[in-house]
Amino acid sequence: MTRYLMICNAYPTRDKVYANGFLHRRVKAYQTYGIEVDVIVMTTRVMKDRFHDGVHIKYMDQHQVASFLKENHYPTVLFHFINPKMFHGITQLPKAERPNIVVWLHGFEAEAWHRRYYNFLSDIESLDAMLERKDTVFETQRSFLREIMTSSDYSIRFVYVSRRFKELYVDPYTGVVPKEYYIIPNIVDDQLFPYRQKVKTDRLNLCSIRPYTARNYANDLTVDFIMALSRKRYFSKLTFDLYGDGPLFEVVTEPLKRYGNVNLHQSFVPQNEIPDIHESHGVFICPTRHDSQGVSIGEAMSSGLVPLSNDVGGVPEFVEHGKTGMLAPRDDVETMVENFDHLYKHPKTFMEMSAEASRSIHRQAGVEAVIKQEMEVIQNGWS
Amino acid sequence: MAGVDWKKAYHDLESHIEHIMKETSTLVHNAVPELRINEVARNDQNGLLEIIIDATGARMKYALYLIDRTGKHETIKRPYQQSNTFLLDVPGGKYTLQAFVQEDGAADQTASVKINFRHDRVDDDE
Repeated sequence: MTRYLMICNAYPTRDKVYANGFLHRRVKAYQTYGIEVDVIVMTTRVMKDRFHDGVHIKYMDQHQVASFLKENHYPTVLFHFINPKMFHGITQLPKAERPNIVVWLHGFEAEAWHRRYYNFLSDIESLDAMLERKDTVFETQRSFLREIMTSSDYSIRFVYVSRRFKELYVDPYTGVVPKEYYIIPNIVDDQLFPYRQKVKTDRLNLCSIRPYTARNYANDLTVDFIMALSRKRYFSKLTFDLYGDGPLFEVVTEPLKRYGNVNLHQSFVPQNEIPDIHESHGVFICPTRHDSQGVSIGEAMSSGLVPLSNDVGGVPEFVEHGKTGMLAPRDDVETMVENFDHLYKHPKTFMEMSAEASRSIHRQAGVEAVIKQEMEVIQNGWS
Repeated sequence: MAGVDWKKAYHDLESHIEHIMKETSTLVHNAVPELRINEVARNDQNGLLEIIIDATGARMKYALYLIDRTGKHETIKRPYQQSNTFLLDVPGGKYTLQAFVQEDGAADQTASVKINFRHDRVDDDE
């Protein structure tokens, strides 16, 4: 059986189940289609090999990867969250011995330094640190991406998780478009998040499941949205459940404590518990300032929730406003309220949207849809 | 280079910059300089002691105590005023100056500093 190699910056283990969990789901899905993948996690720490849920994980630095690749031949190497150190081992191989390469671009590794400005404007030290990283880390990364996107020394393909992510963020950042690229979203696991039919009253139960670690998750907009909605006559009929944890949780959610119908659950939600939360709600509050795809939005849609989000980044490629969800312009709380108001007043529309959201995301990003495309990219058509 | 939709990217960047500027506007509006006294300068103005309080803050007012360290003269207390400059007619001697700055309308926001100095008065007729 042909084995492939995945090189990444983090991979789940028993101790850290959620570190890049979506990579593990990918590897497990490949296994069901007969593809076995070895995993290398880049690290300078000395760590023993681990086995997690049937996957062999090695931990190596760039030099060890280079030695490993010289001694072990893989037809194709798969990169996630690539950087120059991760790629070093490939450059050390003679050109004729280099494997085929597939590089997935997910977000921060292929974006300009200023994209998430709201995360470093809170104090001058953070801003100064980012300005320094602009010239060191980001320029190095940009040059590296440009190099591998244009070099004829590698047989290389690129996978972007959304077209808007590619065209609005990555293309202008690198200034080049690779010869071979594909647009394939991350998996939205329709098996873990099956559609469960909603009833009209489910639209009165809204939930949010988000990290409270950075402002790009826009939890402040969730709070502003609920506070604006509290002026509606029907507000007391609604229930809100906010799940998540992080340094920003308490300060951001503080204004909501006065509302008896807002339940704050300060905890990280294990992924296997999310479907149950989805089952008891009908609307998913998910404003965002930055998302190359919005996997958690997709998961809620898969379960049959109608998402309330923003026309930002890759989100509009997965949420069609008025058909599979409701989108407001960026930072526009007033429109978010109008959007929910529409759902409240049109329960039939809510029901239709719920079903269509699930169908749509399954078609676009379900396990079978994504894995078939990825297998095609990994295995076929290499010259 | 061929393939990058620069026009589309430029429009997105314009929107991005607008949001950065809005964020900056909020930060600037909410930025309050920390109230502090930078320096207290002393000059002789035709025999009078001129005290200038240099401070950082918003809408400030200034006051001072001038304490005669030998105890021969009563302490001079000048109440809060808008100007940062005080002219005092005092004899030469050793003094302790306590300078105060307060933000207008915020009596709980006060900064002060104490300095000791010797005032050598130079009279016009000397």
